Amino acid sequence: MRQILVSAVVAAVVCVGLFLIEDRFDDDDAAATPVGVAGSRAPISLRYTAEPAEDSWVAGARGAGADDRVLSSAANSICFLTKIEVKGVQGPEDSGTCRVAVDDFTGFWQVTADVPEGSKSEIRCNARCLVWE
Amino acid sequence: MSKLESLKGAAPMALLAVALALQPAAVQAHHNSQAEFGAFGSETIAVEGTIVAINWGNPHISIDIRTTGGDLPAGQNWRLVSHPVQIMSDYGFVREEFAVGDHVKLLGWKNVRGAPQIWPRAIQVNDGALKSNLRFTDMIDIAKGTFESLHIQPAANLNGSPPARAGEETVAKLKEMGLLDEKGLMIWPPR
Repeated sequence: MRQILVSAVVAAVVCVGLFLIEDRFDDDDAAATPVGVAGSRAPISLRYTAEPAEDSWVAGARGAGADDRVLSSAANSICFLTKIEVKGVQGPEDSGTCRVAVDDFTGFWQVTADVPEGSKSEIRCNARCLVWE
Repeated sequence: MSKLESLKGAAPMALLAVALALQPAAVQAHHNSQAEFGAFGSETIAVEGTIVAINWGNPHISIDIRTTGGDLPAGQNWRLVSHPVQIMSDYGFVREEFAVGDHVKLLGWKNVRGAPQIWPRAIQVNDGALKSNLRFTDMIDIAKGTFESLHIQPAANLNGSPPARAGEETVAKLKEMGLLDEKGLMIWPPR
C-alpha cells in the first residue's frame, strides 16, 4: 500500500515537473521565434540520476538529528523520493520525516531524513532526479 | 504546445518514474564517507574560504564556506561535511574554534557525484594549526612517509587507534615501522 502511495506521489511530481519544464521552454520559444515562422527547438536531453549510494538516515535511538544527501543542481533538475523506510515506531512520539527540497546555500536539491528529539524511530530516505540539459 | 499536450507527453515519463520508484534500493550502507567522497588515501584538493554557517549537530556536523582561493574558483558556496559531534571531539575539534567569518584553509575530498560538498582531510582555522580530520589518512600518509611534509597536526585520537580501516598494506607498513603495539594499535608519536 505504501509503495502505491509513494508511486502516486512520484508520478504526480514528475508530471508537474515536466509540465513546468515544457512551459518554460514554451516561453523561451515565444520570445525567440516570430509568429508564423516554424520554430526549430533544440531537443531536450533528459536523464535520471542514480540514488546516492548511501541513504539519508537517522536512528533516533542513537540520537535525534537530520541527515542529508545532496542530489543535483536545482537549475536543471527535479528530484523525488524513491525510498521511505521507517523502523522502531513504538508510539505516537516516534515520528520522523523524509523530505526532498532545494538547499538555498548550495542551490542543489537534497534529500533529508529528520528524526526529532524524543523519537526513537529510524528513518531512511533516498531520492533520484530527472535532469534536463 | 498546449498544457494538455504537455501533460500527455509527460505521462510515459511519469510511468517510468513509478517503475523506478518501486525498485528496491541496492545499497543500504551505514554512514560511509568513502561512498560519497572517495577512498581515504585518494588525492585531496586545497581550499580556502570564509565560514558563513555552522551546523554543529548529529548525525554529522557541517560548515558552509564561501571559497576565496585554492583549487576551487573564488566566490562559490561549498559545504564541508564531517563526523558526528562526539567523533569531532575525539579528533580534537570543539565547536568554539569555529565562527562565522573565520578564514579556513583545508585539504579535502570533493563529493564524487559532483555535489558542492567537501569532506575535510585537515582543517586550519585562521592562524591555528592545520588539524587532521581523519586518523586513517594520517596512518596512510605516515606509512607512505609523506605525513611530515604535509605539516598536519595528527588526529588527537591517532595514538591507540586500530588501523584496519587504513587498509592491509598500510597496516603491514606501520607494523614494519614499529608503529603498532602488541595489540595492533597505532603508536603515535613514535617511541
